[in-house]
Amino acid sequence: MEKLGINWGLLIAQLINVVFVVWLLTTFLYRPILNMLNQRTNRIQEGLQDAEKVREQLANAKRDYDAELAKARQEAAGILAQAQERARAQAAEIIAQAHRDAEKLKSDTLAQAEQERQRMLGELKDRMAELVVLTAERVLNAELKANHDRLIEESLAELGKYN
Amino acid sequence: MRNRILTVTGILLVVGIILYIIGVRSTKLHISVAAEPVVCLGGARATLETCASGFPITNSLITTVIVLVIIIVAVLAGTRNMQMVPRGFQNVLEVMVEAFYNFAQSVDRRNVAKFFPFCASAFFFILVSNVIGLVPGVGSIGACVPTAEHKETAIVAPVADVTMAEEPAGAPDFFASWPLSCEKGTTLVPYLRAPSADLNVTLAWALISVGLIQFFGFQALGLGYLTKFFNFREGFMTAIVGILELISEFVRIIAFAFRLFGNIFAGEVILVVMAFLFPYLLPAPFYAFELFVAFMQALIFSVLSLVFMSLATEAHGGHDSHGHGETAAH
Repeated sequence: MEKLGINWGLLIAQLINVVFVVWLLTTFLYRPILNMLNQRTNRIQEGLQDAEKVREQLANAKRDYDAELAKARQEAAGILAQAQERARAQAAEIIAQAHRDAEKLKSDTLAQAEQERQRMLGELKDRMAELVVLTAERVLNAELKANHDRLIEESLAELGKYN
Repeated sequence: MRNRILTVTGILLVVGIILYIIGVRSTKLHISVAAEPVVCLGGARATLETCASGFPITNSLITTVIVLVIIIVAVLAGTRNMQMVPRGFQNVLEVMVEAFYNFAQSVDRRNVAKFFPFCASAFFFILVSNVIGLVPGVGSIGACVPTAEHKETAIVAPVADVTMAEEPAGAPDFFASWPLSCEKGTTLVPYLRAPSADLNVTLAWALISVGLIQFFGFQALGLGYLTKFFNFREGFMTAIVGILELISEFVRIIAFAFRLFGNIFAGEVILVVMAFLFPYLLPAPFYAFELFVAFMQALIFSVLSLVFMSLATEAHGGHDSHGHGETAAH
C-alpha cells in the first residue's frame, strides 16, 4: 500500500473532499440550476399556452367580426331593398295620385265647361226668345201684311237650327 | 491552410532537432506512482514518496485544494446572479448540468434525483482534476529533494527513477548551471500533480461510489437487497452466482479506483516519456489524446456509478446478465 502511495490520512482527507464536493455542487450548482431550468420550462409552457389562448381569442374575434360584418352587410342590403321597394311604391302612389288628380281636374273642368255652356245656352235662349219676340213684333208691325208667313217660318227654321 | 500547417510543423521540427542536438532537453526522468509529499507536516521526510512522521502534504493534495477552489469559483461565478435568460458562464454551467441530467434521466428516470448529485459531482471533479494534470507546469515545477540513499525500500522508485546520470558518456545536463535546477543527487518533487493520478483520490471516490451503490440498494429493496448475494433457495448455480456478485461488488472498488488512476497516471507517464525522448512536437498528439482520455475517464466513472446505482435498485432477477458489465468497460 505504501508503494502505491496509499496513506490513511490522505485517504480520509480525500474522502472528506469527496463529500464536500458532492455537498458543494448539490447545494450551489445542481439545485439552483435545476430549479432555474424547471422555472424556465414552466415559463415557456405558460408562454406557449398564453400564445395559444391569444391566437384562439384572435380567431374568435375575427370570426365574430366577420359574422358581425356579414350581418351588417345583410341588414344594409335589406334596408336598401326595403327603401327601394318603398320608394317604388311611393312613386307608383304619387303617379297614381297625379293621374287621379289630373283625371279629376279634367272631369271638373269638363263639368264646369258643360255647366257654363248650359248656362250660356239658357241665356242665349232667353235672349233669342227676346230677340224673336222683338223681331216678331217688328215683323208683325212692319210687314205683317206682305209675306209675314214666310218670315215667321224662316225665323223658326233658323231657331231650330241653333237649338 | 494545409501548406501553412506543414510549414509551421517543418520549421518547428528543424528548430527542435537543432535544440535537441545543442542539448536543450531533459536528461532526467523521474516517475513516481505515489504522490510525493511536498512537505511533511510536523515531521520529517523518509524517502521521496513517504514521510517518516507527520502528515504528508502531497502535491496531489495541494492540487485537490486548487481543484476545489476552481470549482467553488466557477460555481459561484455561474450561479451567484441567476437570470431567467441565461448569459455567459451561467449558460455554460446550465448546459453542462442539463446535458448530464438528461443523460442520467435516460438511464434511470425514477431515481434520477437520488443518483444525479454524486454522479455529476464525480464527473465535474474528475474532469477538472484530469485536465489540470495537463496544464504546463503541473508536474514540472517543484522542489529539489535529496534522493534517498535507501532505494531498496522503494520498489517502484528505482524502476522509474532512471536518473540519466548513468547515461552513456554522462550526457551533460544543459540546465545544470541554471538557477533553480536540481543538483546531482536530488530529484525534483513537483508542487502539483493531477489528483486523479493519486490513488488516495481515486480510491476515495471509488469507496464513496460503491458505498452509495450499496446504500441505494438497501434503500430501494430493504433487506431483500441481500438476496442478490445470498440466494440459496434457487439451487446451487444461483448461490454461486450470488457469491460472485458479492465479490464483484468489492472488485468494483478496485476497478473504479485503478481504472481512473491507471488511465491518468499512464497518460502522464506517456507525456513525460515522450517529452524525454524528443521534447519538441512529439508530445503534441499525445496531449490531444490525453485531453480526450481526461474527458472519457470522467464520463466513464460517473456513468458506471450511475448504471450500478440503477442496477442496485432493481429488484432481484434479470440483472445477472449485465451485472458483470464493469469488466468490459475499459
